[in-house]
Amino acid sequence: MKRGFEGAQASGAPPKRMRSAGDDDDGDNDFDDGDDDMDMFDDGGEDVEFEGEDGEAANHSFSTDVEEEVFLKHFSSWARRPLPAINPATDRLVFQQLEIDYYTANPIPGMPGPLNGPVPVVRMYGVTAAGNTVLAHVHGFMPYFYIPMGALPGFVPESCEQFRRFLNEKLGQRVAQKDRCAEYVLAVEVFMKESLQGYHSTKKSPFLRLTLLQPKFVPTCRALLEGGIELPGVGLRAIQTFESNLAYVLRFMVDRSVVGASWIDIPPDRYVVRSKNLLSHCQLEIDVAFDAFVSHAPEGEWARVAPVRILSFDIECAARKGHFPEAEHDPVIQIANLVTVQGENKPIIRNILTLNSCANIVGAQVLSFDREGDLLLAWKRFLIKTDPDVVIGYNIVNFDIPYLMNRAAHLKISQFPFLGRIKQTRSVIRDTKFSSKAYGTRENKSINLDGRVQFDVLQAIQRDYKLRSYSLNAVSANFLGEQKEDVHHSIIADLFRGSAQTRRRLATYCLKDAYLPQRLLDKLMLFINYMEMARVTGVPMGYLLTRGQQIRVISQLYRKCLTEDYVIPTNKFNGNGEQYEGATVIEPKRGYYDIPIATLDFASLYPSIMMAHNLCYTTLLTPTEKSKLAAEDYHKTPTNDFFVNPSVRRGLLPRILEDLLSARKRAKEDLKKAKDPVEKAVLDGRQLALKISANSVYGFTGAQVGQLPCLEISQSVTAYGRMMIEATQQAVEQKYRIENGYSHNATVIYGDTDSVMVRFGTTDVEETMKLGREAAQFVSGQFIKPIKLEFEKVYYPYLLINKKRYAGLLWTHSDKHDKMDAKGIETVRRDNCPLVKNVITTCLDYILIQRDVPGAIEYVKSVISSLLRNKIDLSELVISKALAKSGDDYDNKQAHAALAERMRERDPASAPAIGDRVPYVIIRGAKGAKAYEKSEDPIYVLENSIPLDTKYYLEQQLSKPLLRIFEPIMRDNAQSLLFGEHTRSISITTPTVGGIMKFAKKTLTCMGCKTPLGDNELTLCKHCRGKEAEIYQRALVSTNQMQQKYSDLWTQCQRCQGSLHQDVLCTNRDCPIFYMRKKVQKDLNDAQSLLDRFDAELSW
Amino acid sequence: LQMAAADFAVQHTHDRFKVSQKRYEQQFAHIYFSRLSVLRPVVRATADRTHPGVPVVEKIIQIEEGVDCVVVGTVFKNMGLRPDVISHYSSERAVTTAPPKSHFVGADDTAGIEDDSGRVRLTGAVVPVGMLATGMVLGFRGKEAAGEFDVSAVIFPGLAPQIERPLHPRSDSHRFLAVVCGLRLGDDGQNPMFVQLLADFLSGHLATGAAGGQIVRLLVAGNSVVLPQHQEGYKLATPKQKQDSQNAAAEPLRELDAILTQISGAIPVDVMPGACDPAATSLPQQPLHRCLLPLSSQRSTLTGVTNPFSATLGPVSIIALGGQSVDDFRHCTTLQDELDIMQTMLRLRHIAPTAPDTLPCYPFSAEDPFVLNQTPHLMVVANQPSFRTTHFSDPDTRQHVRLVAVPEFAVSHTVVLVDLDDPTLAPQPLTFQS
Repeated sequence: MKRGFEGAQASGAPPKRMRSAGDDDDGDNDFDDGDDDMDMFDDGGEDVEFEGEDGEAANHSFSTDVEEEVFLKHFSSWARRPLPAINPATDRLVFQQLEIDYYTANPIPGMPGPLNGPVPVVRMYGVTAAGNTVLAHVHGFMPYFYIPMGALPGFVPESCEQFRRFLNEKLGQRVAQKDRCAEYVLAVEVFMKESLQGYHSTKKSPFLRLTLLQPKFVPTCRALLEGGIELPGVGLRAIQTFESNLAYVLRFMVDRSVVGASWIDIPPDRYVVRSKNLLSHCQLEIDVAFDAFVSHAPEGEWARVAPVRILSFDIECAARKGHFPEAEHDPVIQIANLVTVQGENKPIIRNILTLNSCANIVGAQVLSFDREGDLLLAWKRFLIKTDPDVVIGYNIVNFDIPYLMNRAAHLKISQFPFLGRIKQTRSVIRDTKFSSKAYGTRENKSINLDGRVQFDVLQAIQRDYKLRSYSLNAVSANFLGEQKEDVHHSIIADLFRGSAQTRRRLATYCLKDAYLPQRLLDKLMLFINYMEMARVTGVPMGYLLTRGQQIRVISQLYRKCLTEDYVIPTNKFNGNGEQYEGATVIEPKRGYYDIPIATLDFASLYPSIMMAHNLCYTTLLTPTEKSKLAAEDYHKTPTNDFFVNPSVRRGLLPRILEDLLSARKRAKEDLKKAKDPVEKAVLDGRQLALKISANSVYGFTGAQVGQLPCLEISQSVTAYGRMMIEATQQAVEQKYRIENGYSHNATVIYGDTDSVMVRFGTTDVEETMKLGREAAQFVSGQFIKPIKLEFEKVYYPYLLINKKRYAGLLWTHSDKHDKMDAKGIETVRRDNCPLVKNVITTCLDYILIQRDVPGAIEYVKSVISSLLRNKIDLSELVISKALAKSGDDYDNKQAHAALAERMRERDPASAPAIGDRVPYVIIRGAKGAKAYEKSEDPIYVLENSIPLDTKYYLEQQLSKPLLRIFEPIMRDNAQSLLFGEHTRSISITTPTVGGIMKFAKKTLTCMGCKTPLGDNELTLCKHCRGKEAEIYQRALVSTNQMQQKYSDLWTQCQRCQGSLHQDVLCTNRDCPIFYMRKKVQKDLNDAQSLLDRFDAELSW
Repeated sequence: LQMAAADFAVQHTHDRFKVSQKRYEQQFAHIYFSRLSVLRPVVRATADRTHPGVPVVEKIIQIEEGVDCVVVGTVFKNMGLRPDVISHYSSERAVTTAPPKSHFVGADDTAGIEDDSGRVRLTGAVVPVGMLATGMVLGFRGKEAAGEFDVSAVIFPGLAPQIERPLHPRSDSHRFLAVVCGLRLGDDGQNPMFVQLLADFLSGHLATGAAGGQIVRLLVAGNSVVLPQHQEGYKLATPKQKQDSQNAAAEPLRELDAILTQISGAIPVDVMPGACDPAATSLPQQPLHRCLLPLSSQRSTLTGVTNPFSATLGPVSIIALGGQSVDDFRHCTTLQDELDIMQTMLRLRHIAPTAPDTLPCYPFSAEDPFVLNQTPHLMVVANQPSFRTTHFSDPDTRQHVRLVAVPEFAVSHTVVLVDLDDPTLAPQPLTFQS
């Protein structure tokens, strides 16, 4: 079930929820009102203790013995392979951790840390190389942060204990009643550190490290100190804290050198296997001290991937007619599941759980249940038994998982929401919102599946790719190159209510939808790439989709600071809206260049600038510090900010960047040598992750609503960037001149953020490449290392339309072009109809590849002519938009909302619901009618032959993009595309409904000359009789084309749906042939009736 | 000559190929359903005979893992080389042209079978994926393993019953059926002399020569005319241009009309449409419209018939195909020899198995007229690369069928004469030379 995410995103109105999925404490109160038949599940709610596998299987049973029996038959086949015997005294334990969290518990004897709790215990969940699951309870790592000792007047190292007791007491007054305990502040120690912010001539100074009992006391203590604290004998002081907002888990990972998805190696005798008090469903639980293991850097053999189990699933719901499914009303009817072991190309488990009977499916286990409650519980038991490390799906975070949980809550199945690995931790839904410059604002649900990584393929694709549409249809068409069968939610309910056969039909569909996320994951290497990103940036995999980019930089920054004795100030920044100048461009010299244009690119421009100019928090000079230095010790940036030179101090950020870029270089070299496809994928994922990481450092310093913005750095970076683009222009244009012995004067025709387009004037690609390489080397020599200008490619020919809008054939070898490259032209805007994109693509093809400008003009004219003569396929004219709110809520009437309103009046059952995409076309309306009044359902238009407003399509859709392309080529003449002979022939369909047609009388007309026929004439008037054969043939030609098309399209749909024996049901309106299929059916019927008129007159 | 033709009993049996109500509301699932319901009992009976004791499962879903059984269903084949319909129709430049057909068989093709209960993929070295095509109804013996069906034997429906052919008592009688196809009137570079020679020969103005008997009937088996393709652009045609193009289109038909008038004056003629004739291209192709042949259609001796066509000519039952289904069979399988394909079709009891998947046909809702309920004595496939023939004897049923492939006249200048009184229905090609 995928629909709706687009709407939900835009509307800001999250679907209603059954009940507040609040605190863990009140789990059982569902049973008070004791209605309906679900009380069989009341076996103690959360206090379910599962004792081993058999105990769990027997724990609840389904409505019928048969169901239970079938379930148990498959049950054993879902388990992981058994855990081999392990002897902690002699065996080393090695596993790849994928998820890390913590809980609080009383200390365990023999483990480091305070004797009195409750203390935090880190949980690392992982998989061994043999595929067994491990949960390591890591003890003794205590949260801490810093304050500068100088903030406490008169403090000497001997004051530590006194200050600890003082703080302990103050804190005790602040903490909540339920958290009261003996000691909050465990230690106060002095360390020599230096604040990251700004250059200090004093270098290191004493800092106090405050170690606390629990992570939750950190913010309390920070508030206490920063909010102003009455110091005995000193008075009220606000004390700046350092590193007090780093999440505990990340703190642990930073301090213990654990990066995301790394391998954990525990020597023999350093861990204890738990045999009782097992908290989880993992096969092995151990206790280990925080300093007793090694986390291997993900290099060499430690770069591999454990046999991780990935569950991909999809649910179907039976929605009421005309409604998007809501958990209060609409049952979950099917859940399809596929379990795959990472790296294997076939799923190891493929099953479907269905409500009511369902005919068997070859190659999949079908488990049917009479009651929905049983179905949901079966899924939960399946999940627990297969125990996947990673759960994937399409829009699962915002739809499938919350729906299942809300539905279970509605049915009062209190055992359901325990989907994680920790037996007694309830999964709850939380609303989250995160804003990021890179990803925009997203409202999301978040559901804890403790110990399992959730990976919503939709979210990953939304982050990494810019697409016209993110529906599963569109995404699979884009990446897998195939259309997906789409069954409309109203049909889903019909199929569900049908027979075991129709439910089987639905089940095969559901299984396919469950498989697609896995195929996307494999195809796009999402798992590997995200794992490498977690390794490079050091954050747990789960952070990558739910958090912004800042946390990735922070994690790296903290790691570097730890080794260099820097401490990071905890500041609150609420962007003051101060703007600095972004990367400007060299004004494009618009036009069509029929000669090679060389492109010179700065490699990793912003990171290189930071390295070259030593831009960092630690090198930034305040006026005071500057006055203490000699002039040769620092430099001024173009924005009048001052930074010390590397000779005085090498900045931290430049060193982080150096590490990232040299690691990338290594990864790329290794990639060249790698043979094994998995190894290659890992290395490629890594070099990509490193590149993205390096580039995000600049963004981090500029993020105004960030943890550590530093305008001085970010504005200096962009200013240097601008300078360098300009310097490049100057250098190239001065050197490559006729008077210097070159054949032409070079001009820079365009320059953007990190690239410069040069027209050297030569018409030879090879020669241009030579000049490009030479120029890149020449210009690079004028800049500080490691800034480097590289020659990458030649565009030839090149159509420069405007800033960030251009197209050209891209050459990296002189013998043949690589591809056509277009930027900013093929608009991703969805309120364009596909015709625009198709026409523009074809024009570019004509202009750039065929080098046939007259051909392009001729083509455009023929398309416009076809459009005006109604010959363009309807599917090319469909515009679609998501319906976010009901029509009344739109301030300005919008075409799609107005249409949805009208469709509701026509038929409430089939009208689009909120969250649906509404496809529409613009039809001919009364004079002066507003555009939104002229929107109409494409299917309705087809069925009733309603004339389209072809003029709208010409003027509002086609003309602008066409003029943009053709103006640089044809100059003022471009307008001639839109007017002229080709626009004179116009045809309009005669509608079958409404208006004048009510008064029209149907009369047969002569098929030759359209004059009305006499009573005895069926086909032709007496004047046209003589031409009967010709007229018949003409009718035949178009019928034949339609027959071919009918046959091609409908058999294609049979193949796509994967069945010859069942009717095609698909309503995938994104599919290019959906409307065509419908239209050819109607047209063919019409054409055939016309031909039949001939047959009625004469036959053999 | 005329006399012989008159006392020769001819019965047209092609009514089942006539489509009276051509509607397109229904989908193609029905035709597969009809096909399977007629052929499934046939394959089952064959399986009982050829694989006694092996259980035949009712439906695909009833296959039990690891159990040796026979299952019957409709074959589906995934062919990577098959032209992509979606990209063909969604690219705006290709508005009208049909996808260029070529050979679609590739090494990565996979096949499975399907019925109304589900589908299962076929594996095993025995599976001749290359010989299979979407739409065939076959039985497979094998075992299911891991969701796939491991095939150990393939079971064809086998030949349909055949009416016994009474051999003519007079051994000296030689009555011939003449078959000609691919006249391609209107095609560039044709020498009109050959068609005139043919007409003169058939209407008795030329010595019969090799035949040495009587020609009692002519079958014109498709591709009689080639009509000019007209181009559509945005430039408006002048009335003169319009008239010219209409005349050009009419000319080949006028020629055909004249020739058929001449021949049908001498012997009865059946005219079938073919791929390039002015008839709807979907199979079964309906008879050419009378208005296209205004003169010859006045004669009672000329009949427009369907493609495929079937009839009983004296003692001989015949089925004639215009060639499209054999050509498409060639595109979809590794079988390339037309005689092999004809034999396979007989064993499949189906003369257009690849329709509707790769070959357009009407979306029949209640029957599949292409299922053979009778094995003919003579099977003719027109518009093939060359003249080929064999006297096929089925080892299982001991039935005999004369298979004849007829080349296009425009290329070969050949007419094929089949001796309907010969025990083996031996055909003779007669080639005109200038």
